[in-house]
Amino acid sequence: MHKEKSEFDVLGKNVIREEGYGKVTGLGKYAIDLEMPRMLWAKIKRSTRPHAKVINVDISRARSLPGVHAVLVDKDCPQTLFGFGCYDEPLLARGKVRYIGEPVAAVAAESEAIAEQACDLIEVDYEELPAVFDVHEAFKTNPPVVVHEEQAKYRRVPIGPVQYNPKHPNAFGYYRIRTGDVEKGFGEADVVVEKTYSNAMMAHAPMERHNSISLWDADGNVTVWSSSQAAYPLLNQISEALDVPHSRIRVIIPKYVGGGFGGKIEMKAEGLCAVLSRAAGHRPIKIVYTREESLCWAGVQHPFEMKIKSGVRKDGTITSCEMFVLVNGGAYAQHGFLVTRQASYGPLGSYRFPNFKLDNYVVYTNQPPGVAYRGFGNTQIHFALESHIDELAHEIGMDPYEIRRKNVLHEGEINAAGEIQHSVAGAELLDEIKKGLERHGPLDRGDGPWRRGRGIAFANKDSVAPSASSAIVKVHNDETVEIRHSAGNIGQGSSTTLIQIAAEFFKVNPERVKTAEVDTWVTPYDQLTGSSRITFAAGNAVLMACEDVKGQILKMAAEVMQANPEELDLAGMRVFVKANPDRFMAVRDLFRTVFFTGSFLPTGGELLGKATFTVPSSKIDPDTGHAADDGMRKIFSFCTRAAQAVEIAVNTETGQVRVEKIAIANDVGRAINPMSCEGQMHAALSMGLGQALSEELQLSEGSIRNADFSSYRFLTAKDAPSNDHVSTHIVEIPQFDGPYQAKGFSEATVSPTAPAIANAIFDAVGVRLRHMPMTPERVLEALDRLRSDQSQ
Amino acid sequence: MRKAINLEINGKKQALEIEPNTLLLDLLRMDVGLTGTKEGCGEGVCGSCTVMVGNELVRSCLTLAMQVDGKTVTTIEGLADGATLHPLQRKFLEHGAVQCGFCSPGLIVTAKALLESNSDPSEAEIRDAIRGNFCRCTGYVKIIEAILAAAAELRSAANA
Repeated sequence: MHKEKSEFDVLGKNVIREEGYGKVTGLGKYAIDLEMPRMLWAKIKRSTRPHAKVINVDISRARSLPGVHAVLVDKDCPQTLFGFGCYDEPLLARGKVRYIGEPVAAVAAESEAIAEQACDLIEVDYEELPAVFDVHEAFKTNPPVVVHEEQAKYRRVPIGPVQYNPKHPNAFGYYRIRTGDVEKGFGEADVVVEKTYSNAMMAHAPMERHNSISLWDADGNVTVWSSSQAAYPLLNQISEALDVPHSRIRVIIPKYVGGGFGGKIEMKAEGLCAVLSRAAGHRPIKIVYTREESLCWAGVQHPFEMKIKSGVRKDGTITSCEMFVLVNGGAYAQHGFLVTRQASYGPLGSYRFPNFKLDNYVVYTNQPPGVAYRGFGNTQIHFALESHIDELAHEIGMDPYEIRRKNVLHEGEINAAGEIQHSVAGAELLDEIKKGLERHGPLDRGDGPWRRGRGIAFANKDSVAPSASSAIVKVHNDETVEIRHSAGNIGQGSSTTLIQIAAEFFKVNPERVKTAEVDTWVTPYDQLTGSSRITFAAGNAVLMACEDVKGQILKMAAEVMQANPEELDLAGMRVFVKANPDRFMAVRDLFRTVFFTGSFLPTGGELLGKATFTVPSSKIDPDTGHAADDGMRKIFSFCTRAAQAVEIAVNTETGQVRVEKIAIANDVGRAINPMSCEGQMHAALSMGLGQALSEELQLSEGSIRNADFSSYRFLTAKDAPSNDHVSTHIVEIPQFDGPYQAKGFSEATVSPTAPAIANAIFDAVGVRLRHMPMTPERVLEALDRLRSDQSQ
Repeated sequence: MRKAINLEINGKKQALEIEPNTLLLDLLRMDVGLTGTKEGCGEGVCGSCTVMVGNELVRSCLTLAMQVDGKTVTTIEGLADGATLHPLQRKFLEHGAVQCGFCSPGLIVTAKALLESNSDPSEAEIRDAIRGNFCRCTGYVKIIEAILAAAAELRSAANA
């Protein structure tokens, strides 16, 4: 049902977000603001060793401290292992600790201060083991340290090739892609370039720290109120960790969640605090991570090392590409092997590779575990790929726009993994950013210490498949619409997106539509808020549930109006005869009040529409990573693409990089709420700038040295380019199977920033930074190297 | 040993007994139930806990409650006039300057103090004023737009 923009009443409008009033007045309650009667506070005693046997944990002094109600060590917890597809993690360290920060014991007490004091009284005897931090060391055959000796026995979800390889006993995930013959491809190239790129560890740093309240009640039900971004994955992990069935677990997520960025998908302390609750006489247990815990031990972004070898012809055609990637997974698998898989496909959503070979391993080390992070490995892979494409362009003397235009995928093309590409934005995005930067006129290269340059980058992000999302839509007797869906509204504005979709469907004012608070006893299954999937998957589910309830309304109204349901239609909560719109009835008149017990329908019951939206995927060959030729050729739900162009100035004396102008373009399918789309693009830009220039968790022997906001610095208002130097371009290439042709996009848009800046630094001063963040120290070091090379 | 303290919060007089080491942030959130003021870092860096004491901006996570004895405190809950939002609050909504919203109370209070001392700030002055308010979501573009728009509305209301 393709429609022109002007035909829409609610779509394309800047509707104010549903929960906005609660946010600007301070009246909305986040999980961190919740209190329960008789609530206790929890604290976690964490490992101070990167790798050590736990000989003894003495909790006697902690237990006898007044105000302490429960102290737990491993043996007090269910003897389970939880994970996200690779089940390797106990609630509290079992036998040994594998990273600094790993939970060893937990306390519940009458105040946070008492709980903290009790943690200090717990004495842990360690027997130090050698530790491994470097991903190459860890990846070795016969490595100096094996982080998980039991790995071969771990339960796993089978995805891709065999994940455990005894030749690399620390590798816990592996992905491979094979297309054509890369050696033949290198033979056909005029130039072959081989370089290695890498990134530092980065924090999500949501402003609301990870927190929750857990209650394991005397009836055996576990209820959790959490700042999580993904209710059902959390419920599933609690179930695995506590060995309690789903039917006994209820996860409630307030309408107010202070950011997520992927860092609030996995379970944090919800399961552990449920065990504390049971141990403390079924009292509710609240935990609020400190800023240090939230930055370092609630999951981080994975450091990647990416070796790329590519061949290119003088006309810009890429003939071959070979990639070898090592991902530093940290001490537990968490989302690592899925990040590895997703990142492996990243290059293939951007360009045409007649010959392609990729091997990608994620490896255990004694560092804090990596988790999902906005972009899911794509920010790392596109930093490498887009820097590399720029290097190819310089080698053959080609314009960076042209080399991308030449190789970028086209609509309907089958990519190097045998997947058909739909709704492809390629040249359109490149044209937009070119326009966006060129409006400022020609580049002034500057003189003195500040030298200017420009750079561009392209990126994409696939959204997971198979994918499933359910929705319930209730039409109340006052004709308002209630959406029950489990999308975590973490700030991206998903509630308002779903409201606009339903309001458009019913042709009602969006103020007449609301969403229910996420509560797994009320709101139905959704896979997760992640993978940019909510607008697409939840949007479709809501639309289908609207259709369902509309069918019920028409059927019921047909009886009253003495017509056939097929003759009727619904708009603005009026049912009317299509051939004669003057014959109509109001939906509210379907409800009748008999006696004094509230109104009900002629049939009884409620106007409740239900639907589930699913996306299948093709069978994937584990040896080649290719989609089967099954008529679908589908690996992911959809793909969204983004491009950015930047103008920067580099101070050749201090190494400082100042981002002066930037143009950002993103394909969104259709902009349901343009203001919200722009907001997400600016948001990702700000995260991308931090990633490019300053954000780094600095590690020393497994310990993070800058675990606070004064030393882990992200962008402030003073660091960001001024408003008139940011041009924002929403590109609408209809997504054929999206709700009203829309799709999610908030991840792709974070990836181009860092490589565009790296490319601009090269353009400005001729040095190539292949590691991010590109801090002043690293830029200066590269400049010094260049100067010393030139003087020799 | 609990101490008596008298102060005025959002126009309402309060007489409380508190532990002398209570932070202003905890007094507001726990003792008075005004949870609109948020704690982002607890170290005075991120600005989420910003409130006004008199006409001054303070980080309530670094301020002892005893220090504000006898003073007036304005939090985010004190800005709206009943159900009528302060122009800053409305402009933040209309311009999409709110995403996760966790930094919004501190930012809006900071912007209020700015506009009280400078009714016509430039973009650079706004960026300078809010440099200590960390926002992880928005990238600041729409926050700047919202503050500029609120300033313009307040000026035209003052001239009317």
